[in-house]
Amino acid sequence: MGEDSESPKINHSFLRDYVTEADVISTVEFNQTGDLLATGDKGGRVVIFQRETESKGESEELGESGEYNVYSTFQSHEPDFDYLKSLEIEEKINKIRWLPQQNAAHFLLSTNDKTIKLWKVSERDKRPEGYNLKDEEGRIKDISTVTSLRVPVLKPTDLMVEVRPRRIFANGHTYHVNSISVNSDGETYLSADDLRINMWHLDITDRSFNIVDIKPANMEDLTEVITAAEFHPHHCQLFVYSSSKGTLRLCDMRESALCDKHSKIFEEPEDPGNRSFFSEIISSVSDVKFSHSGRYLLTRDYLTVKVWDLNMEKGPVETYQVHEYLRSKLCSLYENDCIFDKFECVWNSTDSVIMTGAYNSFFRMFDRETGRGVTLEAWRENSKPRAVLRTRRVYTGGRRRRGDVGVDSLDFTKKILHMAWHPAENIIAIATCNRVMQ
Amino acid sequence: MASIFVVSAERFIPLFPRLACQGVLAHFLPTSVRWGRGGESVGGACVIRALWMNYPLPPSLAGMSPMLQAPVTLVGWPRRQGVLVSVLWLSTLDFLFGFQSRNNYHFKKMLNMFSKGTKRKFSDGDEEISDESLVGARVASSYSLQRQSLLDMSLIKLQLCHMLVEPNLCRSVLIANTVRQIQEEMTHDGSWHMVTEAFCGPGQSPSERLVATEVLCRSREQDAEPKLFSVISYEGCREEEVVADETLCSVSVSDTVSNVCLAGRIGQCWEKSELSGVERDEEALEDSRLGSGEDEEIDTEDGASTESPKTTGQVFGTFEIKNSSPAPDSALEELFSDVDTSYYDLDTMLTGMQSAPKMGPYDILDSLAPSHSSPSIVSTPKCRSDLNELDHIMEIIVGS
Repeated sequence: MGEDSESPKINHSFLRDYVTEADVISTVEFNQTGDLLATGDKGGRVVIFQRETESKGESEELGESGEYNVYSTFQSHEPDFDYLKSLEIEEKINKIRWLPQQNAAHFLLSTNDKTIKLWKVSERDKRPEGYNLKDEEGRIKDISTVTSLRVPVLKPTDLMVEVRPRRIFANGHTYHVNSISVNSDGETYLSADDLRINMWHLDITDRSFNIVDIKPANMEDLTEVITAAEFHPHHCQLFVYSSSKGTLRLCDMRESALCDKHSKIFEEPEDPGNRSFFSEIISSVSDVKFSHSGRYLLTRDYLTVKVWDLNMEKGPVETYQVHEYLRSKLCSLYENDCIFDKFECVWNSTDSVIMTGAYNSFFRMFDRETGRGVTLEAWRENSKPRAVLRTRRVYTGGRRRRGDVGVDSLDFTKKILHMAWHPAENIIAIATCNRVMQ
Repeated sequence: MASIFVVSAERFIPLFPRLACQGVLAHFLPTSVRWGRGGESVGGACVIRALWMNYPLPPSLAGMSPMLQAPVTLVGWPRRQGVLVSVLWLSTLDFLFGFQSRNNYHFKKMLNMFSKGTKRKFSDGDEEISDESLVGARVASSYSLQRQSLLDMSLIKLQLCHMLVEPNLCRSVLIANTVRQIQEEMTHDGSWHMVTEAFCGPGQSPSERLVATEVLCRSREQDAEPKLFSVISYEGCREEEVVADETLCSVSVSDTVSNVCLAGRIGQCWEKSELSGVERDEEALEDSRLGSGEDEEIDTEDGASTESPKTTGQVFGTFEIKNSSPAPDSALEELFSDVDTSYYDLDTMLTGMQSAPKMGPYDILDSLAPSHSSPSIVSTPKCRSDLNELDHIMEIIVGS
């Protein structure tokens, strides 16, 4: 399975001693090269980490030895208030997506429940010196003291990272935005809330196209909401969105302007043997991801992760049980609302391994080639960089080994919801409460 | 008489100094930073782990696994509005206990969730507790009991989730679908009938509507029947088609409205809210009119049923930003424009009582009474002494 090649590196340098509610990380995302890792938290802040590259002499194994250090921190969203409805708008960052890099600056989109912002992250390591009209501190010089003219020159200074908002896409959504996805055309992106999906152009903030609208005319008929949406990685006209009923709909924007009618619908018929009152709730898809190849879809519902082939609509090609032992506990999990937790799922760079989170700081990885899964724990204390993570097991019967965890002693407050996988290497970023572990 | 005991974990003993003395039993877990107390505009969140009724302290309280305990958070203190919302659940025992306060309204809701039929996997104390359960609802089939309790739980969740500052539409839709599914099943089984006992009784006064007491009282007067507390009092087939709507419509859309909900009357909470008039507020939830078809409530019903399509839509309307708001929403807004969202501290939240200037639940109930044009009343708990005692205990608990 190759966990040994996982090189988890944990960087504690940015951590604070106490954890407040606002520090809880709500999203994690690598950029396209994997050099930058952005995390958003409940307090509306975005922290960007950059990988330190070390060259190891002749063997330039950049991938093996880089640690991630804080690159920049900024406040992305502020708490807001909707006066009409007397509702607070949380500043929690729901999603961050990096744009493909086109010049020296990096761009990322971050969104809270209502507003999407485009941020430009740029470095400045030189500054002009030798102004004629201003002195070193920037004060305007008295003209009479200027006796000669000179050309300002650029001198190197300490590296400064500037982050500026470049676009603010506001008032596009009535409901809570749950996903954003940048199109492969590099010019547009989509944002999905519970009932609608809008397509924006990155340069235009006052208009967006509504491409999916599943709001019924009568809200009492509402039975299904959109839970996640993503553009196809290669085909700019295709996107997929998942629903709370466990269906995936692939839409082609060439067919019509409003893609309410799907091109393909991926739905697995319900297994009558496993039917319960919670069947619908646990079938709700919490995350959907295209594979890097664009051929497969990965979905996460409450108890399983499924791999779908875009060419086959009648069911997933692979299904992996994440924590099947929770099936008998669904009632309790419904009570304490854990059944509504939205776990994310990720592909690795080669689409051969998939990963998703679980409870008790566990996360699961599945090797698609062998079909085997492994449970790992995001271990917070005393982890050295590049330590191999311990394999854990949840005891569900049979012979109990030492170190097995019983189902009843799982800590349901320690859930791993957000994660990201480096686009090229075996580095994963997992958000546990306020820490991001790599 | 049932007393409520609440015990606090060590951490909170200073806050509730008399709790420990009372042998009261609850296990507060902080989930957020600030506690609201006596005049400070701070709020706190806690998960109250267990709320026991009249039982000796079980030894293994500390060892409860989180999953089996009452979940749910939220002594929430929204930053801007100064409105305290708290929800606490108790599922380990035979009670589902919800506290909720919003704006001026505090209420307690209590439901009998389980009886012997479905034993939770808990400590041994559970069995004796079920036996001694005050609200001893005994159902033959554990499946239907489970189904019933699930229905109740869902309704509470649905209602309470609309109270939160940030309602989650996905969660609400899923819960609503679960409720619908259960209702369909129940109608198929024919077990969907109304509880009428609670609604009968001519001289009922609103001030005696305190749920907890009701529940307690009712347990004495009536035989144990499954539908006692957590029944949605729907009646007859003709209501079926609006059942789903009713369940959804009762939640008042406006977030400034408090959802005063009577425990054991989950159905009431799902009351077809009367949009008309001031009564629309909390009462919409308080009203026992859910038992449509009752003679005494026919007029309210008629009014409500015509409005149920509107109200149902409004359940999900909460989530919308009102740009071009539909009429009902704006009507609601002006109804509630005079609601005072004054500061509430934790004590009052817990006790459901407030100091003089603010309206307590009783005051509210009283004030609602005159505004009622229709005789939609909940059954009168006939034991006021229980009510008083309960208040007394809660007073002690919070030390107000």
